[in-house]
Amino acid sequence: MELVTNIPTLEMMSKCSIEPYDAIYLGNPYCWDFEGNLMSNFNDLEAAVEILREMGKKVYVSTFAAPRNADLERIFRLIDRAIELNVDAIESTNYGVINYIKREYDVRVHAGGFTNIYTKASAELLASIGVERIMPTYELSIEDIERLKEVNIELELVIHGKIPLGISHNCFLLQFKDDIGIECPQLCKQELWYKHEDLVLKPFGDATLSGKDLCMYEHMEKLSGLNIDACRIEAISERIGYRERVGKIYRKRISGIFDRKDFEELISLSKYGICNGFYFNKAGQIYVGGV
Amino acid sequence: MIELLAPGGSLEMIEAVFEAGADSIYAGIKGWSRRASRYELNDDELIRAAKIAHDYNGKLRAAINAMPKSSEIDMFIKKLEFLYSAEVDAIIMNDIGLMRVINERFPDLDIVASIGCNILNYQEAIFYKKAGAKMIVADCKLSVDELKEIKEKADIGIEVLIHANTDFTYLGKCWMSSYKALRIEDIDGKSYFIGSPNRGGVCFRPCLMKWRLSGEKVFAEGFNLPNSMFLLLEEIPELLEVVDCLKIQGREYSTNLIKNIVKFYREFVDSCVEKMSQDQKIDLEIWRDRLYRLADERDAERLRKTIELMRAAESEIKL
Repeated sequence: MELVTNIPTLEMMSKCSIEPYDAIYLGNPYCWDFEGNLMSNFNDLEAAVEILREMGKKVYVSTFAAPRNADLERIFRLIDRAIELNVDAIESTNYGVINYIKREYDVRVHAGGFTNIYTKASAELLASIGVERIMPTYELSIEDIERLKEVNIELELVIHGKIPLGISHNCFLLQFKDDIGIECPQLCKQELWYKHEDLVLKPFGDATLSGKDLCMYEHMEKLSGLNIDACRIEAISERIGYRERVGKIYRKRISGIFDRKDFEELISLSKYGICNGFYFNKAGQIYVGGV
Repeated sequence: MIELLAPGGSLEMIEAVFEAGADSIYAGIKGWSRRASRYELNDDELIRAAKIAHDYNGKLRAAINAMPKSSEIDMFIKKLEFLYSAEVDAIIMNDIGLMRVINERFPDLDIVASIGCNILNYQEAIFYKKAGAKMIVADCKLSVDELKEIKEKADIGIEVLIHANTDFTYLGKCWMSSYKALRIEDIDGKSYFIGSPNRGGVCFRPCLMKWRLSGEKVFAEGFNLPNSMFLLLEEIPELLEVVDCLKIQGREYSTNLIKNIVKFYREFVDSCVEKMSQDQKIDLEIWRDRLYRLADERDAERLRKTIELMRAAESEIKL
């Protein structure tokens, strides 16, 4: 089972933080203007690919998650460049872009979590056009995901981190730049949260992430039973140290070692607590006790 | 000729909107659409709805656009067999994989790709067409220029919402509501996801709660995440040149309010068509006052419903 994570910029690529992983998704798919975004900076992208190659890691490139007409040419340029760099796969969450890549290029395609894959019928459709891997919508439970395994397509699931809860056409945070006193693109690098009573969300570019960290540490056996192909640490909005620590803990966990201290460390790394997302047919912010 | 599509939240509403001038209506299939079940129709009502629509020389679109579970696909197809036999004119659906399946089984049944598909660009429209969609419901955030480009490059029918709301997020790609609260009920083997609009349950409208923005300190508080209703007016003459269908949302509103909104748009669209055919200027002012009055009525109804939904979310959390 492949352990993967995502890294938005070259600056966020320390070798220590990459080491626990088998593959890395490069680029921040939620905002073109994110400072240093590997989707927009091809020199940095080339350097990042080189680092990963030297470390023997697979290289995946993410594309903008909610592309309008005007974004398409830019995405196609990114794909051209990624293919020149001989990356291992392109991730897209847009059916139009996915179909275009499969029609025009010879490269692996991973359909990401915003592709809205709820049923095996959609998984079958994507398999029929040659898509190699899917991430089901975050709203699916383990029993729903089990049915997707009936389709001959690789499956990737989030096992830890802040899951995306929605994506918009713009960055709402920009409305508050005067209140905060910081301009874009520094704005979303701050620790900022939307709060209402106990509900916490994290704004990040055009996306809104869960305030809590989805954590499947105690439940890895249930996911292993699904025979999934890759598990992802969602760390796109996190600091380098988080990606490194969480990666190391799950590397151990995947090899079958359960350590209560590691679990406690995961809890301590999550500022607003942990949850299980939708894996257990509960509201996404709820945590179901495990082992 | 542009189609004016109105909501059919009940048989009473269906009669009323056809009387008010709708060309067609859409109705949710009980348990299978993106609205609470009290605004959906059961099988008997659906058969009657089709008859009413056809008696008015109109059309009925059946909304079966909640995302089903994979284990419910057989039920979904059985429901489609029923809809086909009930002579609905088109179905509105969301899951692109099932769209392909339905298109292969019922090739003469028109498929509309729901607003929940969140189709944002012409490449995506091309793919949905390939999967079987005859028409797409455009996201409310798309500009007229974007719609034109989609129309030109994908050559597909386009429906736009002229009375609806723009959400904080793209519709169909949001699970903030079910992250906050979710309850699943099983009725006759079908799951009902209360709190997940994508899966057919109500949205608890977390956008409309009072939020605060916190970091090292509280930077702002008491704000909503943008979620506002709109009633288009100025845009309509240009849309008439680009799109195929103008949709009025509102199955959950009172019949009287929806009837008045439909009547307003019927008169406005007809007036625009007439003036445009004679190269005459359209005087929007006389229409704007009427629309503002309708908007006030609508806002009052919406506020009551939002409060109900927020209370419902709180009680779900306490369960």
